[in-house]
Amino acid sequence: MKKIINYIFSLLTLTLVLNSCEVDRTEEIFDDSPTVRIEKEISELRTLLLSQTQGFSGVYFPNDDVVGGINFHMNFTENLRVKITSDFKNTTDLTDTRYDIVTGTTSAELVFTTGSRHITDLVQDGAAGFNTFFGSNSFQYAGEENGVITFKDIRSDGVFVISPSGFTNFDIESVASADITYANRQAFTDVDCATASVYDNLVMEINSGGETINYILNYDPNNIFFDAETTNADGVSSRQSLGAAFTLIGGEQAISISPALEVGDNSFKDFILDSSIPEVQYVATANGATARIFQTSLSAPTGEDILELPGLTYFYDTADGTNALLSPCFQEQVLDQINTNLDNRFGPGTLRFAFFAVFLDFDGNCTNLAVWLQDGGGNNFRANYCHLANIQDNTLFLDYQGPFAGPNDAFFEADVQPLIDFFGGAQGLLYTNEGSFRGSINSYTNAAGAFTSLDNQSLRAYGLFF
Amino acid sequence: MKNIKNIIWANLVLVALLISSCSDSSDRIQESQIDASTPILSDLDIWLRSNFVSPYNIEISYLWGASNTDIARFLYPVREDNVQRWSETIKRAWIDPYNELGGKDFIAKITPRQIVYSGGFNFNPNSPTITLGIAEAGTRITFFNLDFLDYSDENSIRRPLQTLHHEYAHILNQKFPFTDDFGLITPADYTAQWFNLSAQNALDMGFITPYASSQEGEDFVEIIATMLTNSRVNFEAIIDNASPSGQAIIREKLGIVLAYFQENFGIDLYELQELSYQALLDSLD
Repeated sequence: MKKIINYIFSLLTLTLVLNSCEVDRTEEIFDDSPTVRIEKEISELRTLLLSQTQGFSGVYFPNDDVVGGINFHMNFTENLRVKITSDFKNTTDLTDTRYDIVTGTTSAELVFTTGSRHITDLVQDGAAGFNTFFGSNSFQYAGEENGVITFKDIRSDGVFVISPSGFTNFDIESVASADITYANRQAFTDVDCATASVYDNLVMEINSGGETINYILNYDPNNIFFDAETTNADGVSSRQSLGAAFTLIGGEQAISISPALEVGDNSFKDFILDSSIPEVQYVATANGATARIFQTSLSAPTGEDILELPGLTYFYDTADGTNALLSPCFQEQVLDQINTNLDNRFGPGTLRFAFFAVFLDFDGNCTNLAVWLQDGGGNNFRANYCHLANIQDNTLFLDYQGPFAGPNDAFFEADVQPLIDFFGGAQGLLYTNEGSFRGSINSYTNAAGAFTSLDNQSLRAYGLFF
Repeated sequence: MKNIKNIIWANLVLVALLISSCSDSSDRIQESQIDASTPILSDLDIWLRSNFVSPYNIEISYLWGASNTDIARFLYPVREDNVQRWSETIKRAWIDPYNELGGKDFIAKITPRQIVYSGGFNFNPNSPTITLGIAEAGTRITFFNLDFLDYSDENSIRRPLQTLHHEYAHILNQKFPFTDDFGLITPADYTAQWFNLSAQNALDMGFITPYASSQEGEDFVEIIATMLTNSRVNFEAIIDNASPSGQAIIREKLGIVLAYFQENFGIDLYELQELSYQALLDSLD
């Protein structure tokens, strides 16, 4: 009897143990398997893209940390071809290439499967060296709301948002629209270097709840990008990176920024050109608060940062990319002019300006401005120029003495004269500390600084210190 | 006896419980999720199927797929209008010469099964170099910067063909390894900093190109690639540019390479050179 009781007890125990292992396998978060869900997304996206016979328009912000946005117009067809135009360059002609909607890692992906220059120029632009706008040709489908389709680019954290174009003739109106937004962007950056000053700054003024916040906007036209700097009541300054896109909203010229600027409970993203006034002014409103982008003259800094130089070797390498603090006129009248000089003398593209270093010396010895030029094979040629450095009234004076005695020094002097003239200007240079170095391609922890020519205040160099 | 009955009874109950507790409510096998539908084929796709897939079982993969390349690099697909001409060029300068000398199925038997096209340059991070091509596990060759080929310039076409012959030689080496004595000729001179060598320095050290000095496997295939993309006269002139010691080293290595082709494939490499170089010339405008 005892054995039977033991058996029954054992069986009951075993039953409990086995039943405790039972899992309700039917309980799932989603109704469908991941594969089925992605298949549904693919089908949904395909239907959406093909639903508009006049295509879509939208802005692609590839990477808010370093570059702005580009306007795109796309018209998808059932045979997996897509017509594309964009305003990245002035070559706005439509391309006719292939696309596909495929299974991505976590969602459906729109992939531009053959090369359209409108897409590929953003991925890698130029055969002369690595230069990217951080673009991609694969986009994760993130969803659709009220006809607005959002894609994300995994590699650079980019966002691409499109909505129905509203065109009646896609082929004609898409190109015309791209031409307009391209021209608007160019007009925004047109600078007369003869009269301009880096202290004629763009600013963003935000009036919100009786409070006014001002941002100084340094604009980098190469990367369509604002470096926004504001100073609080305690004198502490902070910076924010804002990608910009020159676009059309409701047919009006506009600047969209990404990410949106959050001030209190208000979010400012789309700034519409105020056509009621003669000055160029873009305005965004949110909950009664306004933000305006306009040009104004700011007082020059005191220059006292020169007394706190973070190092004695000042360096700039084109391979690190550009920064909004490197002024368009410095790019055009100094760096580009050197390349023009080299092209004229040695043939197009034979030699290019690569980088420079200023080895500062305040002990009466030569401050060496060393310039490196590079040929197509990547070989560098260094040339050296002696200046005597002196600081007076918070202004740095570099008195040019002439080339060093090396074989390249006198040989390249005339070619690199714009850079020699910039540093050796009679009225000196105004210096500002600019935090750590941030270039559109590389950023470093090295301290950065900017030198502005007081002979021509449109010229400002940006570099880092060793 | 009673105990045996109890044990049998208990075991029956146990088996019944086990079976019921193991019942699975998961879904039955459903329709396959693999998309086996016929893709939309363009005229180009049909041409590639006729000229590469059917005769050689080689897929020319020109449509972008993230899995084909390194997603961390800023690469992009080739332009459609550059696909057919480059495909014709590699057939003429690589497939046809090998098949003519090695037998009509030479390439079909030993071949990368997938050739990937990429339009832009593959810049190497933290290095002043670009990658022209990649061969992976003997099954795939990837070409970069195909959007920048200039068919009016022999050098422009020579470079990617050199890449092809280079990568294909790696695949041949994977099937038939070369002898150890090759690596014993200049074992101490191989360097990861090969890109610091000028072409002349490399020649003087006994390397046909700077990249040949990176490791013995690259050294071996660079000799083949350089041979097959130059005329015999030009190839000899390249060697003659080396210092006397460099020439002697390169010729010693060349002897091993020639023997490798003769012994493993019955191919006279000089004959292959004549055919492949002529095809390069024929592919130009």
